[in-house]
This record gives sequence, C-alpha cells and structure tokens, in this order.
Amino acid sequence: MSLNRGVYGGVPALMVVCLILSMAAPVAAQERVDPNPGKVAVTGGLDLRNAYMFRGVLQDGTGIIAWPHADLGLGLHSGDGGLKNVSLHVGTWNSLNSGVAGSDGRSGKPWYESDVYASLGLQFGGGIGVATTYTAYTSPNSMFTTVKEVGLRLAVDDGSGRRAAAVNPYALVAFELDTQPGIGQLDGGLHAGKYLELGIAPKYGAKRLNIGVPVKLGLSLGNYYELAGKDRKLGYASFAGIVTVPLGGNDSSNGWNVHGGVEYKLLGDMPTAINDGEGSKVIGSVGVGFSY
Amino acid sequence: MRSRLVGVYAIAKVFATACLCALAATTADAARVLVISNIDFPGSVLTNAQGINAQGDIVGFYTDTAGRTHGFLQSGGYFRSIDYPNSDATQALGIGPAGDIVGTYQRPGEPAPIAGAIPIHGFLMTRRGGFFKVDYPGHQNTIAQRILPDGTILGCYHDADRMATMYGMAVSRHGFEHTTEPASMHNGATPDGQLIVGLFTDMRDNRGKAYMIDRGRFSTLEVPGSVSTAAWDVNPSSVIVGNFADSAGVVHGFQYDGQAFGRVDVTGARATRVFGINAHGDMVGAFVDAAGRTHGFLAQWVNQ
Repeated sequence: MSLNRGVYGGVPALMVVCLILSMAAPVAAQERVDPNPGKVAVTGGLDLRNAYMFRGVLQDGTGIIAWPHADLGLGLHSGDGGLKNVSLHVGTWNSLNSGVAGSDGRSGKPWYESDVYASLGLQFGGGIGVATTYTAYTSPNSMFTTVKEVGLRLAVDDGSGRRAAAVNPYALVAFELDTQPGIGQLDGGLHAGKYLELGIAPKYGAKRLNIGVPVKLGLSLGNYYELAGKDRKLGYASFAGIVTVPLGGNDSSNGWNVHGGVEYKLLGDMPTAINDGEGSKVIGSVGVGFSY
Repeated sequence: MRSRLVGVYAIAKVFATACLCALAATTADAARVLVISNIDFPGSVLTNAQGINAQGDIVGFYTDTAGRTHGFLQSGGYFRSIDYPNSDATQALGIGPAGDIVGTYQRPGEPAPIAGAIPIHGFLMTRRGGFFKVDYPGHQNTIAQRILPDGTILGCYHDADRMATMYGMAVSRHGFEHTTEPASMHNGATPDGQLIVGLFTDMRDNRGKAYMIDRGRFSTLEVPGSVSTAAWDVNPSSVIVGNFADSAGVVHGFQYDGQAFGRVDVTGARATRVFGINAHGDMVGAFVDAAGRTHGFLAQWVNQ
C-alpha cells in the first residue's frame, strides 16, 4: 500500500515524488546545487516502525516492520506556460514484517506486501499538481489477495518559491478495480471500494532540518470501509509530526536524510473493529531516505 | 439473505444452583426475549451456522443440490460462498473480530496417510482472502473450529478415529499445544484465552461431556438430567453455549452463564444445536425441522 501510509504522508509514494519533489521544496532546498540536473530522478529509503496501518486499517501491530521503497522518475516536459512539468514515475514499495503478518504468522515468511505503481504527474502554474496512479498491491506471502487501484490526486503547493513554510493541501480519490466479494479489497468486503482522502501537509524548512505536521482524513465514498456488510463513511483521522534531517544540512548537495516521527490515528467503526476494538493507535517510526 | 422470524423463545433465567427447573421454557426476565431467525444459504439443501463475531458476521457451511459442501460468510444480510482452493468440501466454522475465518476442507481423492477416510485439514482465511493450511504436525486430521483476536486457533486433531487419537489443540504464534484429555476438542475461548471450553468423551463412564479449562484448571460441565453435553463456544462474558441430549435422546441447545443453564429450542424443531455466541450474546446454530431438513439460525436477545 504505497500511497499515504502513515507518518510520512506518502514520502515514498509516487504522488509525492510527482508533486512535492518537483515543486514543493522550500527556498533553502531550492537554492542548493542540484546534484542531478538531468531528467531522471531516483528516490528511495528504508523505514522502520512498530505498526502498519493502511488508510487506518491495521495490517500488523506486532514485531518490527521495515518498509524499503524506491522510485524512478522521468521528466517528460518542462516549460514556462500553464503546464510547468510533466513527469512519469514507476516504483516499488514493500513491507517486511517480523510479526503476525510476516515471519511470525501463518505464512512464516516476512515479505508481507510488495506494491508496484506507475504514475503520470502534471504540474500547473500556481503550484497546482495533478497525478494519476495505478497501483497493484500484492502479498508475496499470500496474506491478502492483490488489490488493483487507480488513484487521482489534486494537490496545491502553496510554499514553492515563496517561503519556507507551506500548508500543502491535497485531495485523493482512489478506486478499487477488478474485485469480487472478499477479493482484491482493503476491507475484504463484498463490493469494490471508493476512497477519499483530504489532507494538509504543513512543512517548515529550517537550516538543518525539515519539520512536517501532516493531518489527514480518510473517508469512504462507497464500500471502502465495509463492516458487517455495511459501508462506514469514516475511516480515520491522522495527526503526525515528522522531523527530517538532511545529512549535511539543507544547504548540502547530499541527497541522504534521516527522519523520524510519531503518528496518532483516530479510527472509525470498521478500522476499530479490525484493531481489536481499540479506537486509536500511536505509531512511531524512523528511517533513512535518499534522492538523486 | 433470506431470513424469517420462526419463533420467539424465552430462556429460563434463574439464579439458583443449576438444576433441571432452570431449563424450563419460562422466563424470569420478561424484558428480554430471544428472537430466532432462519439462515438458509440460497439454493442450499442444508445450512448450518457455526460461528458469529461481535460485528454480527456469521460463518457456517451449506450443502448444494449436487451434494457438495461449501463454507459461507453471511455479512450484513449478504451471503458469500467460501471454498478452500481445489477442495471438495469446505466448512467455515469460526470467525474472529477482524474477520479472519477458520474451518476445514477435504481434497478429492487425497490418500489417507494413516487410515480411514479422506483427510480433513484445517484452514485459515484472512479477512482479505489469503488461505493457509492449518495441520497439526504428525496427525492425519485437523479441525480448526475457532479463532481468537490474537490469531490463536482452537480445535482438535485426530487420526483414524475420534476417540483415543483425538485431542483438543491450540495453534498460536508460540506453536502447537494440545490437551492431555483424549477424545476431546477445544471449541471456544474467551478473547484472552484464559477460559477454554470444549467437548470430550469421559472414558470412565463413556459419556459425552463439556469441559472448561479455566486458567489451566480442567473441569467438566453437564446440563442436569442430560445424557450428553457438549460446549461449543464461550463469549467474552464467559457465557457458554452448546448442546445436550435429554433422557429421551432429543437434542437441545443451551447457554450457561456460570450460575444457571438456559435451554435454547427453535419452536417446532426436532433438534436444536447452538454452536456459536458473540460478545452481545447473539447465538448461532442449526436446527432440524419437522420435515427433517437442517437450517441454520441466528438467535438474538431483544428488548420487549
């Protein structure tokens, strides 16, 4: 489940690559020397965390969870007109679990999830970006059936080129494809789901670190959070704090960073039921990332 | 879902020592009645409901017109058939709070490694559709009857018979465990696993009895006046449900709240069996109607 997994609000995900890496860098970052002046961008990282929830639905809350991910971006167009940039991204996102969803569970194998995606991102004037993403969420250890999804994300970068702080509001809609009852769905429900996510990703870039305070709300537009055969509209609300430290500082051309954060999730009825009746969850994480 | 109200039956609610009179079809709690609804998988010739979780999702099995057995999930009034891949007969028996389902399956033509009929395998189906075999190591048959919130699976294993080689078992993250009581089967437990209930044949008097294993301490449970008793599930409030046969050989369902037994009968049924109970006290099971056909049922307490 590569898109908007938690604390990082989609750091490893395509949409962020399309919309943030290309246009949302704070002033300090924009002024640094670009180590990769070409049209190809590679990003990736490894995150460790104590629980994995996808859009509020608990996948694993036991053991150690590692998220290796990588993304390859290709700039297709760059101009000064209304359409500023067009980019194509492909990538992979993975979850390796030592708990019940992985090596300590029925499968006995750690590789719980492997996602592949492709995305086309368009950046317009005024900081407006649109990205369309196709994602196949697969489970190498067979813990779930493959989910195929198309997502459309609209984001506004209100900080690019003007100030170090930005709110970065966005909206995401996603549609599950090719489903049958219980098959190919996040909720294991009877019908394909339609998902809406509304959020902001406030960021502040200082000299030696970046601070993010993403807030998001996950909702069902239809059958995304089915419980006992009935759709529940509220999925979750998430509040997180993230600190990212570029190695060498924000003025450095070094593409590596270390980051850590804490996320608090309030859960709706369906995610609460999956979370053993607990209506909230706190998730901590640390990781390293790179971009080139 | 084709569900109809087939009867309203009150369970005796007395707070004296368990005795036969507690099984009378009367009620001291006039504010609540038990409403029973049929569960029949569409097009089936037999339906049997085995488990229910706190959300009200119900699992069980049905037999189609060709005589094949399939598991089912009934959720929010909708039915879904469940078949373990490449199996010939699947039964869904238990469902956890997160929607994970356990049960059994058989594969056509599979040779029995020890003796007897086609081996029975346990299975786990995750909420999102992933299937896993659950086989107790070194034994021919495994029945996965119930799943707890932490993923622990309860049931039994056995070889050529269901007496001397059958033992109640639990499969958890920590491995496989089994009871030392022969001819036994774990059928349910409280969410923390501290109270396990099941059935066994007492070799001393050759009677079928229910048992409780409360924090490791084994004790038997029998409905007064019955000739056999079996416990099939227990909810978080430690209310136990199951079946018993009376002196005339008629099978009834029961619930036991630690103080008194209450009888559960579907009106007009030849036999009633209760197999599952959830945190709200809703019960599921099966009954045989006057024509000899087996139906599943849901029994829910409602305020009058």
